[in-house]
Amino acid sequence: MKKLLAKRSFMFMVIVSVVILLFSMLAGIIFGAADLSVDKVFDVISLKLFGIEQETLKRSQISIIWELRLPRVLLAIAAGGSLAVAGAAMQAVTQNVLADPYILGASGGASSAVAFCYFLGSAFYSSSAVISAFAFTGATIALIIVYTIGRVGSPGSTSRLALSGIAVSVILNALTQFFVSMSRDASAVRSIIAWTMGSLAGARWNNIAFPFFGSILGSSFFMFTARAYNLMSQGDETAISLGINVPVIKRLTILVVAFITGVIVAAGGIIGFVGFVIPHIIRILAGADHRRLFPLSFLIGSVFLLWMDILARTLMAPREMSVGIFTAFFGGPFFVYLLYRQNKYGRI
Amino acid sequence: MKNMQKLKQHSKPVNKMENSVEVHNLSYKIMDSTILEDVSIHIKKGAFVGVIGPNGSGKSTLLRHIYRAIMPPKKCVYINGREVETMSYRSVAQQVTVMRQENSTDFDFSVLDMVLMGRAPYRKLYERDTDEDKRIARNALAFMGMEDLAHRSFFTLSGGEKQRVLIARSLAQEADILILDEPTNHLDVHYQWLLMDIVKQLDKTIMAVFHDLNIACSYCDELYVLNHGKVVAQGKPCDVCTQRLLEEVFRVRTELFVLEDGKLHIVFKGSIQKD
Repeated sequence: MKKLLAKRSFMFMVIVSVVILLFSMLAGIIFGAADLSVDKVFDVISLKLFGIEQETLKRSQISIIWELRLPRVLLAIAAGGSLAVAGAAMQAVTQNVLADPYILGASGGASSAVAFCYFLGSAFYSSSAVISAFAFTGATIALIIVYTIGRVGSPGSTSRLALSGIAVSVILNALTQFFVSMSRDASAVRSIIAWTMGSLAGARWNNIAFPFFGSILGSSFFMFTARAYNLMSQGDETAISLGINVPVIKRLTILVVAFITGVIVAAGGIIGFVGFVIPHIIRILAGADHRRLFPLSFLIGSVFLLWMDILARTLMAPREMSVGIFTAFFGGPFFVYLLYRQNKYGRI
Repeated sequence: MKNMQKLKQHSKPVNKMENSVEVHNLSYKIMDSTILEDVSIHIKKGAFVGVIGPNGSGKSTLLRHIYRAIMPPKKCVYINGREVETMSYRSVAQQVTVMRQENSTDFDFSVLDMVLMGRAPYRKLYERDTDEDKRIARNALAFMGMEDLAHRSFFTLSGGEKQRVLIARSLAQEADILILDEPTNHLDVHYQWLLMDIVKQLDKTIMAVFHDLNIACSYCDELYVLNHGKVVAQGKPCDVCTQRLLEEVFRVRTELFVLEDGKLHIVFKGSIQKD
C-alpha cells in the first residue's frame, strides 16, 4: 500500500533540502578551476558582510570567491529553482508530465529572440534589460504557438503537446542559426553560440539582480496560487467545475513561465530539462500536491543546477564546459524513458 | 413531434426565478455543424431531471454549458435565477457540482486530498485547508464508506472506489445543484444502482445524463430526450418513452412494462438497422 506524504514529513523534507542546498552552495563556491578551502570562503564572506579582515587572505582569492563564484552560485539557485517550478506549473496546466519550458519551446523562442537582438546590433544587446525583454517576448510567442498547435484535435492526447513543442523548437533553432549566420559582428556570434549551450559563467553582481529577483518573484506567484494547479492537474473541466477560472490561470501561467524563462535565458542561455526532471522526482518522493511540489522543486532544482554547474567547470578544468550539456545529458534519457512509458502504459 | 410545439410556448422567460436551472433557447455550433439547437430546459428546485439521447445528440455539450466549461451566450443559462455568464467561476461552483467519469491523469493525490479539492470554491487560492474543510471532507468520505482509505493514493484504488471518492468530493462541495454526466459508465451493476440511490436521497436538484434508459426511468421525475441537438420529447418517463420514440430516436426495438411501483421498465429486443 502506497502511502502519501504527511504534513510533518513535508517540513522534514524542506529542512533536509535547505541543508543540502546550503552545503551545495558551499561546494559551488569551493570547487572550480582554482580550488579553495572552506575557511577562506567564510573569511571572504565575513570580510564583505561584516568588514572583519584576515591577514592570510589573498586579493585573488577575494575576487574569485566574491566577484565570480558567489554571483554564479546565486544565479544557479535562481535558475535551477525557478525553471523547476515553471516546469511543474506547465505540467499541471497541460496535464502532461512531459511539459517543461525547454520542451515546450519557451527556451527556443527566447533564444531566437535574443539571437535577433544580437543581429540587430550592439545598441540592443549591450543592455541586459533589453535582452531580457526580447527573451520574454520570444518565449511568450513560442508558448502560445506550441500550446495552440498542441490543443488542435483531441485535447487529452498526452505526447501531442511535447511533439508540437519539439517541432516548433526545431524551427526556432533554425531561426537562431539564421540570425547567427547573418550577424557580421564576430564577438556577437561567439557570445550567441556560447550562450545557446547554456552557461552560468557570465554571472556578476551587476547582472544577476534582474534574473535573481525576477525568477524568485515568478516562482512565488506559483507558490501563492498552488491550489489552482492541484485542480488544473485533474483536467480543465474538473478545475472549472471546482471554481477555478481556468482561462485566466492558463494565461497567467504562460506569461509567468515565459517571464521566468526569459530572464533566465537572457542571463544564462538555454538550460534544458531542469523543469522536467526535478518535479518528476519530487512527485515520486512527496506526491503531487503543488503546495509541497513547488517549494520542494525550487530547492532541489537549485541543488541540481548547482551540481551540474560544478561538473561543468571542474570536469575539464581549467576549461569550462556548458552547463546545458550536463542538464541535457541527465534529462534527455529520462525524457525518452517517460515518453516510452507514457505511450506503452498510457500513464507514468 | 408534438411535444416540440408545447416547448416553444414555454420557452419565454417564465418563472426563471423559482427554477434552479433554466436554459432558454440555447444553440451551439462548432464550425458549421449544429451541436445544440434551440434547447430549453426548466428544472425546479429539488427535481430529478434526466437527459437522454443517442451518442452525439448533444447531451454532454448541454451539461457543459450549465457548469460553464463552455461559456453560454448571454441570457441563455440561469442558475438559481442568475445569468451564469455574470457569475464568477467560484460562485457557480458553490451552487453547482459536477460528477463525471474519472479521467485519467498522471498526477497522484491522496484520497483525502482529492476530496478536499471539493472545498476549493470556498477558499482563496493562497488559503490553507481549514479544520472545517477537513471535517467536511472526512464526513463525505465516511458517508461513502471510504474513511479508512483517506491516506491511500488515489491511483491504487479500484474503479468503483475511485468513483466513490469523486462522489465524496462532489458532496464536500456542498452545492444545491448536482450535475451527473454519465458517472456510472465504468461501474458494475451494483455500484450503478447504489450511486443513484445515494444521489436520490441527497435531496438536491439533479440534472443527469444517462445511457441506461432503465436507470433513467426509475429515478427521474422528468426526462428530456435529445436528438441531433434538439429536444424532441419532454415529460414523465412513462409518457416520454414510447415504443415509437425508442425506435425513432434510439433505433431499438423494445417492449415496455409498467412495474408495480408505477415505473416503466424497458426490455430491449434488438436494433433497427436502416439502410
